[in-house]
Amino acid sequence: MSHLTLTDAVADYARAVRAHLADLGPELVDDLTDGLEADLAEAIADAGEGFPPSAPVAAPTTYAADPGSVPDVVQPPAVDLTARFGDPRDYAAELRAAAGIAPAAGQKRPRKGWSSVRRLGRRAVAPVTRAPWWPACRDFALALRPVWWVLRGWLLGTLVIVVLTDGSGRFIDNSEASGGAAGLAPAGFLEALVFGLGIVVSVQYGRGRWVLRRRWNTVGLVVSAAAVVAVVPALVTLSNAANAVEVRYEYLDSTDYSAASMPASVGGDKNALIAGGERVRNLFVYGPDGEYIDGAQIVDQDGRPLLLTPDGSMWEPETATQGETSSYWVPREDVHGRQVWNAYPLGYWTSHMAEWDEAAQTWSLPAGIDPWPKAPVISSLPGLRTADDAQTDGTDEPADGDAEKPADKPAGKPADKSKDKAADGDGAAPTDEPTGETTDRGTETKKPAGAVRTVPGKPTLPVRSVPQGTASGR
Amino acid sequence: MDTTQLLKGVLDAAVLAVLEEADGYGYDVVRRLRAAGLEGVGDASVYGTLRRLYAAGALTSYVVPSDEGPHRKYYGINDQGRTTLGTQRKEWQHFAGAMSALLQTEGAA
Repeated sequence: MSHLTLTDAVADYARAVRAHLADLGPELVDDLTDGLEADLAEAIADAGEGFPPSAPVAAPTTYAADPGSVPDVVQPPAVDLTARFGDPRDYAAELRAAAGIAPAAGQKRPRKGWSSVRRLGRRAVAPVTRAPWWPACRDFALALRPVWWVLRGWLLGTLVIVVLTDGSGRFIDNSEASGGAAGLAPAGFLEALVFGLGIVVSVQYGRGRWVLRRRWNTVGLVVSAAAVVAVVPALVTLSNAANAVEVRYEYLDSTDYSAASMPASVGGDKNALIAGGERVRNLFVYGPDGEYIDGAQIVDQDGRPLLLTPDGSMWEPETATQGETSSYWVPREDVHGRQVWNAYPLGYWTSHMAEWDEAAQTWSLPAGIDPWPKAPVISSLPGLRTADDAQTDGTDEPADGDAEKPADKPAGKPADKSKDKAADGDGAAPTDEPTGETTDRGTETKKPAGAVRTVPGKPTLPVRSVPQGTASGR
Repeated sequence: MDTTQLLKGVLDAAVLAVLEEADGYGYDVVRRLRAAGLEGVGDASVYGTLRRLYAAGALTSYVVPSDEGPHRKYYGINDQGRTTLGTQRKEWQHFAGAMSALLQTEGAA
């Protein structure tokens, strides 16, 4: 029995040594370890029961396959090869060093500097690795390695997608497609396929199933290192993207286009409202009773008009299926004929709907085409508890507006109507009945779907501080 | 004194000297070095040294098949190896003489 054990142990040890030399390539490994089993077995036999040194080519060298042919004389008391030869890793290192082959994985040149760096690193972490709790922590971390492989694969997929799609993050740039932060989340079949492939590659590499040769091994290391660096920001980005709506907006007259933090999908346009990674092209406002409100003016928490478009038009090469596309927005006008860019919905049309005016070198909407969009049909918008509205609403933005310029109070703001502020007075009259009906406390009054309440869009809107200068003329 | 460190510097000469007596295969060389009194010599160091000397052209190599067990790769010294060995001999004698004299003086003092 001990024969079998011996030859097994020898074969195991030799295999381990070869594994530690594997980076040298099969030829060199064969060259270095040719006859290793025989040498090991003979050395063991020597150390054992005084196997005659004068009979070098002896039976103990029969390894594998046929234990029966091994003479009984080979019965070393113990076959712990590491006791005799040391750790296979050290054995391999010694073999390498004596043969004049650089230690680290295929890196012949930077050997000295690199190994001293490693030594420094080892010394730096020594206080940690010598701590009594270190082995438990290390084992825990090792158990988590598959998670890391998957993460790395995911990042690899991201990298491939970003490279192949030129940074847009999507293979098919369809503006209707759901967003996703520059390819971090799969937005379609191809993306999912790439992520899957990345994960397969990473896991197989991690399991040592796909051994890379020298140069590629370096590539693998570089990719891994890059993934280590990228994993945290990538996770943060993904979690941001997962948070359903991301809203940004700026003044219309802001000419600061330095916007570093804008998603690539808006081409760095700071004056854009983004929701779910897509540019918001229009807004439709529904009142507390669930009814559509035409011409509602929207302001932000500081009372600034909420604007969707920097200058009334946008050139979007990326959304074009054929040629280029330009989008144009049409503002309402206030009682003085000035443009109001935060009254929604805005008129909207694209060059696909338009005709090219050769003389003016611009797109223009042919007569008879209506730029005013229809509100999305929503059948199930519930009415709100108007009593609550009245209590909680009175504090923020409308109040600011009031303080600045009471006369500017937008007429179409439904929330205002349920309040008993000065704003109600000039609330542009046409329709106040619904809120009047639902102010009774404690009852949930759902309004039946009635006629669309209309705040006359163009002529009758009072206007607040809309930056007229940049709004007009394009 | 760390004899393994000392060995590192002279292993080439030791291996060449052993092979000058007679051709030998890997473990055979290890055994003869140990028998000569270099007990601390490492197996892997010897095998690596043999391979390196062979690659450097100081050794010849041939395979002896065996009915029992695997074939054996024998190494033998060639002319270039002998020249190298001659040089190293001189260097060693010079070095050993100097060290002996030095250590003797030290001991006397």
